[in-house]
Amino acid sequence: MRMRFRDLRIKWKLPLTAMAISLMVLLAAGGLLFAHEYSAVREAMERDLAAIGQVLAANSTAALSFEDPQAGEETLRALAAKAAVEAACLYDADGRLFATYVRDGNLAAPPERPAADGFEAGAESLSFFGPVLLRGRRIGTIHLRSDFSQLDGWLSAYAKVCAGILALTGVLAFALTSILQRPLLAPIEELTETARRVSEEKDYALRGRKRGEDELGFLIDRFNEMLAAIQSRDAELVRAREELEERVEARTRDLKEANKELEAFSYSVAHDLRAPLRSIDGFSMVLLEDYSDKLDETGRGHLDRVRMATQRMAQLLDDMLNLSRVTRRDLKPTGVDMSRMAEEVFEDLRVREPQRQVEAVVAPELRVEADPGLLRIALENLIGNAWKFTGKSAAPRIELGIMNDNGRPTFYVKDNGAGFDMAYAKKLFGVFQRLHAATEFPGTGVGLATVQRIVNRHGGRIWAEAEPGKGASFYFTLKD
Amino acid sequence: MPKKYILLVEDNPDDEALTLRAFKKHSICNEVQVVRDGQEALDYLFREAAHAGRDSSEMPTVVLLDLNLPKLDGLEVLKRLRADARTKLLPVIILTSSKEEQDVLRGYGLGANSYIRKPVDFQQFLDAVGQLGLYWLLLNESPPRA
Repeated sequence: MRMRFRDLRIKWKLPLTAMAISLMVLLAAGGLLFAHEYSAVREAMERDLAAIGQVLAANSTAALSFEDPQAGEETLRALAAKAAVEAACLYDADGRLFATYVRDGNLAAPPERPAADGFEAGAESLSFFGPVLLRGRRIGTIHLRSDFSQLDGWLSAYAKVCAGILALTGVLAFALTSILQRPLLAPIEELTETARRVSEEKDYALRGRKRGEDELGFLIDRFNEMLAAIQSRDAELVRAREELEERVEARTRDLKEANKELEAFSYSVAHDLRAPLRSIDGFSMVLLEDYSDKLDETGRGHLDRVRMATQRMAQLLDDMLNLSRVTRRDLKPTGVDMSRMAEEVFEDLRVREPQRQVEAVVAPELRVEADPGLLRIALENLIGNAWKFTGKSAAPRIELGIMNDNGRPTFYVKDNGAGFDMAYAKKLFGVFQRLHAATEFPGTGVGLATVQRIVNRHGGRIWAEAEPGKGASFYFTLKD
Repeated sequence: MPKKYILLVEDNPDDEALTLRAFKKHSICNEVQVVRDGQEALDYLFREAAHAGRDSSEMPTVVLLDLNLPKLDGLEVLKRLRADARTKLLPVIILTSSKEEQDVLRGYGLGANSYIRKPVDFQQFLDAVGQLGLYWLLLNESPPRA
């Protein structure tokens, strides 16, 4: 993976930056200095060349005047002492080549015709053309061509010095920054280390060490404040959780206790409250059997009432027990064929009251997910109610079916029995609530409360529609 | 031939009187021995304490056992009876007010031969007692004596 500069540690970033800055500054300064020096050296070179040219021109006047090229070349040959000059020549007044000097054979010969007076810089050489004057009159032209060896030598020396200085400065800048940054870097590294430990060990008790009141000091202070806040919140959280656990435990204990009490109570209702009832009923009967001759009709009637009341109370106890059982029992839902279950309930009712002629219509294939035991109790109550309240109907009919209520499968038990006034519909599902006189239709008023609890425990809803004399319909869902 | 009789374990004197009356009504003239708590039932059957001198050849044909008893409850009594070789096969009928599912299950689980809930309606109670007397004393073949 390539290391990017922004991923480097500050420890390296700072010295590298310092090094880069010093190198850039030095390069800029060196560049300016070089440009200045270069032009100065160039100028000196030109001056030098011009001076040589003038001396040679002065020495060549005789040769030109007497048209003695031999003498001219002799004069030019003196240039051999000047290594930089590659070639030189003299032109006569008409611009014809008069005398020539070339340092060695490999070099190019001077041009056939002179150019204008002055300097001409080529890629590898500098040319000079100047007049040869005799008493103010131009008698010819001198040409000198110098290579850049002088300049090159100077340049390479300059470059070496520059590179040396740059290297030295770079190393120095890097080393100095590395040393000088330490007081700046140490707190940052320490803070980084602290942060790493906090994040790895989840130890919020750790704190950064502050060294001064600068920005870093401020940063470390805030960092410590945050740690303190987290630490206290953490402690609070732990405390809250422990408290919650304790509370849940206590609540569970209380609930278990209450449940146990409730169970004991239910058991006592089932058991102990029935025993005296049995005595009342039993001895009332003993009285009726053994002492009927000592009782008149009214007295025997009273005893009959006592016996009926005990039966009713026994029924009430049973219903109450069933109701509490429905609430306490664990829900064990499974696939249930409700149609078949309803048929069984109808069959039980027919066996119990074979004299009744009731038309039972059960929709086929009503499959639901429910606790079979509880659903059975619910159906027994709903169908049993319909059975009871159609007792005075001319052609009793009870129907169990399914309909679609806003996309929700809704079951119903519909009868054409006594019905009830919808004004009392709200009281329908309350415990011990009855809408009919016991003399008209017997009952304890617990059945529908039981059904409602069963439906609710399945996550469903139950409601009713009825009209006095026309019948009642009970609707229920098993999951909303 | 040892005489056939019933051991009634019942703490409630009303229930006792009514049960005896029911037997009488159904002409079950066999003797009915009554004990009034669980401990006494065990003492009687194992001939201990107050019943130590009892004739060892006499064993009830059937035990009518209430569940809700003082000192030792009915299920505990049943457990001890089934744990002892002398009473392991003794027919025991639970006769109680409770029809709690767990009582029924535990009763049968501990080896009860029958479980009858005392109806509140005395007429029904009469019928029930009559039938069980008839069945256990006359129809049912008792296990051979150990």
